[in-house]
Amino acid sequence: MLRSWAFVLLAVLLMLPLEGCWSRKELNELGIVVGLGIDKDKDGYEVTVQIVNPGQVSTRNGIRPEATPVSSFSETGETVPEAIRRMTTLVSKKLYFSHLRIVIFGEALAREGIAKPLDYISRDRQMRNDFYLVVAKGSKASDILKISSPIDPIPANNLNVKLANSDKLWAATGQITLDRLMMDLQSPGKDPTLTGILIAGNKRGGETPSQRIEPRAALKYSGMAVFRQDRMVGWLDENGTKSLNYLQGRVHQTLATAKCPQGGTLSANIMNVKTRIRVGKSGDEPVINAHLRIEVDLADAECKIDLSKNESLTWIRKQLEKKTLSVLEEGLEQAQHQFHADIYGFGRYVHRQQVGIWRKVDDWDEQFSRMKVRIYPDIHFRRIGTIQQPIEQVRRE
Amino acid sequence: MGSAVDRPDVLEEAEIKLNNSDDKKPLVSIRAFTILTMFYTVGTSILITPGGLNLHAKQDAWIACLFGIALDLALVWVFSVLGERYPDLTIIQYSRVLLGRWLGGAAGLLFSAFCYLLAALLVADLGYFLTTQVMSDTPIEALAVIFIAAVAYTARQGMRVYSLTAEMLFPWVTLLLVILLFPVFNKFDVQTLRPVFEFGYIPVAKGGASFSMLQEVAVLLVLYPFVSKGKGRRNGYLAGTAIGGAVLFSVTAGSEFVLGVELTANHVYPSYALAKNIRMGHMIERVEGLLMFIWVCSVFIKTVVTFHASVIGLNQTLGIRDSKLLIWPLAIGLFPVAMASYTNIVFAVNFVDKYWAAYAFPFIVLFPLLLLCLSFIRHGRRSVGYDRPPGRPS
Repeated sequence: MLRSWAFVLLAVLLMLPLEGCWSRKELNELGIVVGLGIDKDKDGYEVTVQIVNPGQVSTRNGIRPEATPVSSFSETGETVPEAIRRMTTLVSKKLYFSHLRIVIFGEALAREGIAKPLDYISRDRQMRNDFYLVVAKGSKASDILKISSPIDPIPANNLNVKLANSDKLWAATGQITLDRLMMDLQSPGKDPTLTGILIAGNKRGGETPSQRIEPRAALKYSGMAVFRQDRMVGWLDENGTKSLNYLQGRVHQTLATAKCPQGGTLSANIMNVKTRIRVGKSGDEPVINAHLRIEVDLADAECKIDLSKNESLTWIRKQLEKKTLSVLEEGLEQAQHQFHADIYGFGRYVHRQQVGIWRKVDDWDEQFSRMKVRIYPDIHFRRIGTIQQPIEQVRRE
Repeated sequence: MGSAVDRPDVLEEAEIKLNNSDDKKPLVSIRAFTILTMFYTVGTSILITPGGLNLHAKQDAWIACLFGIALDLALVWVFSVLGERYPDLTIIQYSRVLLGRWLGGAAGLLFSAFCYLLAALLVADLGYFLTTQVMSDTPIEALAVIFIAAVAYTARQGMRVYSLTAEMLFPWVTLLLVILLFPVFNKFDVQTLRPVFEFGYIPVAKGGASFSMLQEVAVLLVLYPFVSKGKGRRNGYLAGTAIGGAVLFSVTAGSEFVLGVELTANHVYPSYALAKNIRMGHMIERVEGLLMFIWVCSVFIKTVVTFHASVIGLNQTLGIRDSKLLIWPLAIGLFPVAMASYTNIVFAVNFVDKYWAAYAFPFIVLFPLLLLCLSFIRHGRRSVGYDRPPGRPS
């Protein structure tokens, strides 16, 4: 009897802590932040958040055409978290960062250094490792977060997916997550890079979801920002970014073009790129030997070439090797002599393979700038697609 | 110092069976003991050791970890020799046999106090972990109270109950550990581990040594006499330590592969950061909240065992025959001790990194080794137990 009363008492007691629920957060009280933009302000930061407007995203209840699927808010503060807290005066919901898709740094801030704002992002427990970090090319991050997106109603989500896909299929973009950026910033022998994003079209025109089929403004990834330590020093162009991705072995698939023997151009699908970096020595200087094994398929041949002959394939292969080499060397030239930043992480390889040399170097970026890098592209031609001779070759004259 | 023959009371104490087990059946099966040892080794180490190892040994953290595990195994081997020499006595009891009533009693009391403080630190460790990573708005006191209540309740149910609990949790924790190591499989790259011994052997040896002070497997010598006897008991002790060591090694090397040396060293809880990287398509992701189960389970089992060891130790030193008498009073005491000993997380991290090894060494290495030496001097090569009282001419 006493026992059963004890159980009843226990059950009642167990109800008490339920009422507390310190960390209780109802879903409709949360403002789910999908995009975070950080800009320089005269004394501190201007922080912009893009928050999902859940009713406008789900199509089940029908959407009100006058309301947007997301809203962006900006606020300033001496530090990033201060600006975010101050935002409570502006936004009715509690900001929740676990579903963040993209973090954008304004170019001005990036040039001043990103280490300080990054501390909050890596210290806060709501931040995960599945969003990308980018730099707004020639504009403020807040401008980027105000552009609406076609197809996907949530612009930040659109940016995330766009970058992931582009990185998979095109060698001239790079998806950088928080952990990767932090590793590049902290470990010796590698300077960070972040993909750039720019507004193509009319900045003002992109603010409302457009009823037009061709939007007035769209967000476009373009090149990569080069950092020395945490300060941005310049922009890599398309070839520079390609060279970066090739030499880091981060190319999944991409496309390359080459000239045909009698004029015209052909394109090749590039896949299965394997990069092997070996560090050699000449005297006391490190020498980088980069071996690239690349598999290619013919994507199209917009020229006259007899594809039934093996010699033609050899010729194309040589052309592609030359082309690849020139693209990579052009990128290397930019990094070594224009930016003096080891974005390839060659220092890491020297550290791993030639500790003796590594320990003697004081200023790695300076050593990198005058280091000899030999690139050996090795192209393996596999398939030519579903037809044999080029249409240009077989069409009626 | 007289021989133990003059002190039959010490041996009588061995008769005090805990948890109302009047039957002769052992309380803990060998398999359960192996699993308890494994949980004990993993304990809080899984949360904090990857960071410390990477901080001191840099890219050689995995070697330091291996070295630490080897040290652990060597110690466990020695402890098991000691345990087998007194198959029916706890370390508290044979410390009285070997050191005499007063000195041995004092040593036993100190050892119990060490276990008690360790239990309190484990409570605080788990509290800081949970409040840092998931329940930031919950007061740490609330978590500590609930956790201590669960620990005390489990300890009161007795060794048989919590060893079976550990056995039951084992497959689930194993499954989750496999998921935790998912991201490692596609980031596996031996290159990250080079260059080997860049800063020489000293940081590696230091890292390994201070790592091996965090498993505190010596505390299990209090449980040892309650495990089914036979050759398997000793192997179980060794195997449990080895399995736990393998888990710690995988997590340490895994953090190196996935997060790199600098990030691992700078994270307060690197293994949680590792869990954040789990991503299998869009099927298995954002599971770090689920993986919390690993840490909560292993810290829970370790705290129960450590706390129970301190209770048993105190009972045996003071000759208290009711094994459950002290459980609740001591459990209530855990709360202020836990809250007072770790005032903030920086202090906790510093304490574990800089002072714990020096503090724990006398209790978990020196004390058992001293007892073993004395035992060889006093009793020669024979094993001494309740069945064959020490010093009796044969």
